[in-house]
Amino acid sequence: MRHLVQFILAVTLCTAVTPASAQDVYERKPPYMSIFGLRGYKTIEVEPGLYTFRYGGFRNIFVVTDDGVIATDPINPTAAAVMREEIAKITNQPVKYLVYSHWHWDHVLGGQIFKDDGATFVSHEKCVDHFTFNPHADLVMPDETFSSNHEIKLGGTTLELLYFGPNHSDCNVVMRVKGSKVLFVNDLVTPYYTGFGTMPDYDPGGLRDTLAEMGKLGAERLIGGHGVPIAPASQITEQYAFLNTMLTGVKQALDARTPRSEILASIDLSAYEHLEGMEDQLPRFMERILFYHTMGW
Amino acid sequence: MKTPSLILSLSLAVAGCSTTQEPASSGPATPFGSLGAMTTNIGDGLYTVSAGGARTVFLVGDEGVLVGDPISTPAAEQILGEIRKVTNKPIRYVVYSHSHWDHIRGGQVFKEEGAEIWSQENCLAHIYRNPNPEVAYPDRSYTQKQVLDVGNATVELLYHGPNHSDCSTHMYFPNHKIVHIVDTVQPYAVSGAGGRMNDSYPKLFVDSLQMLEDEVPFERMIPGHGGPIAPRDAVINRRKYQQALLDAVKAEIDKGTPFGKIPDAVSLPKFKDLRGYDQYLAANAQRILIYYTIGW
Ligand SMILES: [Zn+2]
Ligand SMILES: [Zn+2]
Repeated sequence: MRHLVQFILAVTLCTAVTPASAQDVYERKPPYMSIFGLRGYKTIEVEPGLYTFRYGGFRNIFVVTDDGVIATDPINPTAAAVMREEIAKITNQPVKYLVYSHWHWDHVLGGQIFKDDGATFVSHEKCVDHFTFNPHADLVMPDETFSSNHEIKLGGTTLELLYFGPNHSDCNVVMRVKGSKVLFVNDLVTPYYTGFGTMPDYDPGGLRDTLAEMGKLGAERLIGGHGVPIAPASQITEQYAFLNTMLTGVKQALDARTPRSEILASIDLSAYEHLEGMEDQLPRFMERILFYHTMGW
Repeated sequence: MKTPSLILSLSLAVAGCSTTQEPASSGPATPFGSLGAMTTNIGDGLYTVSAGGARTVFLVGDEGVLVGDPISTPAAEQILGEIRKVTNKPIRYVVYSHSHWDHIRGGQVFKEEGAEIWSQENCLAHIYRNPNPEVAYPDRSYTQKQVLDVGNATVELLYHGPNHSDCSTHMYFPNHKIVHIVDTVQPYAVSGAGGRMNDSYPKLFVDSLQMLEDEVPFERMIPGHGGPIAPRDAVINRRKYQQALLDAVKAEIDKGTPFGKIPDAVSLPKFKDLRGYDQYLAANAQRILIYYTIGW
């Protein structure tokens, strides 16, 4: 019965902004939830002033202060319009900053309505190269960029943007409200998911290094860019272990000249069977790791 | 004979980086490696060698020799042996076609002969970030264009932007009107490497080949895998296939086809005779879908 209630909460349109309850911290992936199959939208207050907004399968955070709002990834024009309404239910302060977690279009489109409100757009400088190479009509270019770690201060609150080098893309940042033990880790950790198998601009070794560094941040909970609202920080460790198992397993198989069709079966992944994506993403994930080891790409 | 053995080219052509399906170390496991090196004399000092699962070129001039990719250490030794059958002149240059290890391992073999290694400058970041003990660091790099001369024999290193990688050199031999294109064009084949690599920059890929066609009066091409030579039309055909793929996936998105169904919904009957079409079309389309969703 409780599952049913969670299910309804998770997948139906909810108009009220709800404070985080124990059920919002998912110690494991609920079996009924498909990360990219979520519909509707929902805003949850994670801790005072820190909110997570989900639209369909995509999720961001925003931070409310007395002097304005720091919003992140607008997702797409439709989602951004809904998010703007959700923010207006909480505060009459405008969005002063909009921060991109990285450059991928599935997260960063639709910022124009916040631009029109006067928001300053911020991203890591390497995102700008991609935005320039691959222009998109619904994309607002950043006004301010940074090259290593960066802080945004507003109304007595500081949002830290932590850069660890190339990983999921080459301009991902981890976000943390200074003093909080919650991280926004868009696409670096998608809780209870193998990760998308086909990742062209993905640096598997770099992601492993980043996950190791993230594990040292002393976080207790995290918010991913897809899926459950809040997960325990142990998801960082699990994702590290999963990626490390794949990286070392494929390498060992290559060294042993295991035929390609048998590589996957040669790796012991029994600890990760509960991850979503083990059926549809895993073969491509293996192939991507194979490219990394054989082509340096 | 203007277009030597197109048939051979087609029959040997593999769909993309087939060597990536092999273990990292080269040797007998590679389908072409086991045959030993096979050299084709194009004429006027230009040769192409198939070794270690890939194909490279060398150009003999009055003052020395320029080599393309070293491929791997054992392949580079074979290639050096093939060069020494033809000339004793010094190896002056090695040019990396791009940064992927299935092409650029083994450069040390030529460095020890005194060669200077060149690449397009964007390769440096990849090579330094992912070091491989078998990959020698380039000594020199260029941005847009570099002419190298080995004595009455020149090659133009041309960068036409991202395509299969973001540092692929089109090596143009003006005396022969031949361009050496590695991995971006596998003559009359769809994108290989499981179909999903389909090349790192799906949209800029088209612009890159268009630029090559517009700016370079090449008549033939030498690929980086498979048979030795193909006509200019192979490049045009690959560009058109890529554009058709982009258009077809976009049309499905615009039609509202559910994302999961798009790869299998795409059909390009005009290109059905391309090598790997039946096997890799859906994977190629899936890669394009990622481009339209995340921009890469
Ligand atoms: Zn992403
Ligand atoms: Zn390649």
